[in-house]
Amino acid sequence: MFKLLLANIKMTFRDKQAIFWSLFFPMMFIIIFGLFDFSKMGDAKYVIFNETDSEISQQFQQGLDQITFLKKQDVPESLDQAKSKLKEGDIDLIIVVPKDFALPPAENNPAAIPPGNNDSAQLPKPSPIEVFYSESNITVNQIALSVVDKFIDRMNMQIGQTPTLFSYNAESVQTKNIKYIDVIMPGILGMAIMTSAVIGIATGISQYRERKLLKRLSATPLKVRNFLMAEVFSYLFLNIIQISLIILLARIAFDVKVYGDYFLIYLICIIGSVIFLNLGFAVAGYAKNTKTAESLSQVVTMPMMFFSGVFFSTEALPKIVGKVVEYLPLTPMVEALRKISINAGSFQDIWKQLAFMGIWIVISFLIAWRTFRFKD
Amino acid sequence: MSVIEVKNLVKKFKQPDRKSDLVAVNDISFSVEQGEVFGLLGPNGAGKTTTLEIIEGLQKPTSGETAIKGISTQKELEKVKNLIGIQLQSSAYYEYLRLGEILELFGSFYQKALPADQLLDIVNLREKKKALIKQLSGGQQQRFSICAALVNDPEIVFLDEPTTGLDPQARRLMWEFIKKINQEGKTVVLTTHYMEEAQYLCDRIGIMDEGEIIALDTPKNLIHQLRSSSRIHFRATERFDLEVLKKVEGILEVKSNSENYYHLKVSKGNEALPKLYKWAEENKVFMIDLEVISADLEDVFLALTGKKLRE
Repeated sequence: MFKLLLANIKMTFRDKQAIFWSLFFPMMFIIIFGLFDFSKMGDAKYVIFNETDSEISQQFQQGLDQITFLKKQDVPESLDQAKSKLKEGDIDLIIVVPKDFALPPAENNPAAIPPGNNDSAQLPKPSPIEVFYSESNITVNQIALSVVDKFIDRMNMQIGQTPTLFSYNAESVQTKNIKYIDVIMPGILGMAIMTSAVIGIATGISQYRERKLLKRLSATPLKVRNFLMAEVFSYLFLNIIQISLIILLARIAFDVKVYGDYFLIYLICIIGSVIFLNLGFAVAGYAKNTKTAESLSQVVTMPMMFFSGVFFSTEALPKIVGKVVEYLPLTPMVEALRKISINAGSFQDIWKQLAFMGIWIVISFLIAWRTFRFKD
Repeated sequence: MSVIEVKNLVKKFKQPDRKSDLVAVNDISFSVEQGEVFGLLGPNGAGKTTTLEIIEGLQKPTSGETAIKGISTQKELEKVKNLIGIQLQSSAYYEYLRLGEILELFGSFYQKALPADQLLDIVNLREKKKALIKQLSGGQQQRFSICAALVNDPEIVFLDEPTTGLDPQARRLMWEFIKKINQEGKTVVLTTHYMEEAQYLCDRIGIMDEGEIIALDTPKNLIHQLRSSSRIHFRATERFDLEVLKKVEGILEVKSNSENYYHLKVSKGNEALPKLYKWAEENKVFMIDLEVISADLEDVFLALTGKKLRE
């Protein structure tokens, strides 16, 4: 059996197609998602027409500068030019600070107004700051407007010396710098193992059957059990190489860290792999020929690839779909991988997922047992 | 000494669209002697492959039994598998392994195995040891599948249509390899629907048709059993009465077509020919394009079934 295992591994590495789908394809995903810079998408570009250099307008400018989310652009020659830029989507926001945007003279300083006298109507009011925005990018503009809004509120309060009663402390719970690629990487691990195991076994075995290789093997004293073991172990070996390469690439190229225990990552992957190998055998047993096996394994893997939280959270799905998806084998696998990789989870954190995957091993084995036939 | 025993073998297949079962093998019995080349000859669908695969243990019989060297295929398949070598009618080997690697891998399945070099030498493929299957020609692939059947140095080799799909030259070459294997002391059982092949290679032939063995003997005896062992064809310068010709001793049947072509069936060519000459001289018949054709297995098959071997 050992010889057959070695031969299987040798064959896999000579099969360029198998290598592409199992090794390079998932690595391509890592590169693509690694290159997307999702933090850039949230920026709002603005131009500011500052028609005065009063102290307060300078303060306003400093305040804007502190907000990293707002990116100041070079001021165009005229407001009209800026407006047309806004329409084209080159900038998100135009802020116009009027000429009379300055603190009133000392005698009219609101600080001198005795408390309780709220007759603010007496105060000379500078013209309002004008903000132009385009409707096309609603989220960005809502945030940008609220930032400007808040800033102006604060200045008003400061000048009016309104005491600050309410306050809050914002503290990010995530102390690590988690990027989208960090979230995606464990998902890619799960996806890579699923596709290579299901598609690999299903098409591989049905090809063997179609070419009568299984029949030829059954003419030798080779035991079916040994044949299957050699298949399973060679795929486990391939999967270990697969995930090592994916983790390594993500680490080198995009600084994706695995915060938890590597051993647990590999354990989850191997358990997942056994489930998907079983499903592969089931498909190979059910499909009459290689073509059917190919499309049937797509039918099995595709929904999981998109619904089991590989690329986006399962919470974004409609409720009913979400419920169904919870029971698919890839979902707990990806969840467990994320818990280990991102949250540095321990065995206790993933035992539920592991137990669930254990149930899937039994189910998938039973399905494979019932459907798989060695000969035609 | 017989090395293969087949007793009352029956194989029926269920037909989903019909009520009755398809009887692929209908109660056949025969035995194969040690060291001989035994052939099953018959048209496609006669039940040759099914018979072979039951003996090899690849299919289960509906009833009856088969044994190799006294060991029942149905009861002790593992033992039987180590004694025999099998070439399947159509079977591919691993796509991404080299010939040498395939032979070593298959060897590892058996208790004993021959080295790859020695096996490749048998079929002159030594220089292709590092090649992949797809880099071989059709004939070479077929040769390889024969040497793969010898990997465990079996006493009995089964070849299922070893030359089907080969061009005449490659077929000739294959015949020589099969003879060589037989001369090394191995018993060879083969199926074929080429009567020349059966005639050339086989010590004994079982003619199969519709699941039954309708004749079993040496090629020579099978032909001798025919009422007419030869045919004589000739063209005559003028027409004459067919009935006159029939009176010549040894001539069994006379046919003619409009172009003065005459086809005779005779019991023995060498006896009938001088008499035909004498008759021609006496009757002033001038014969041109005369040919004597000895009967072959095709004629045997035709005589037994009323059908041609390949239709």
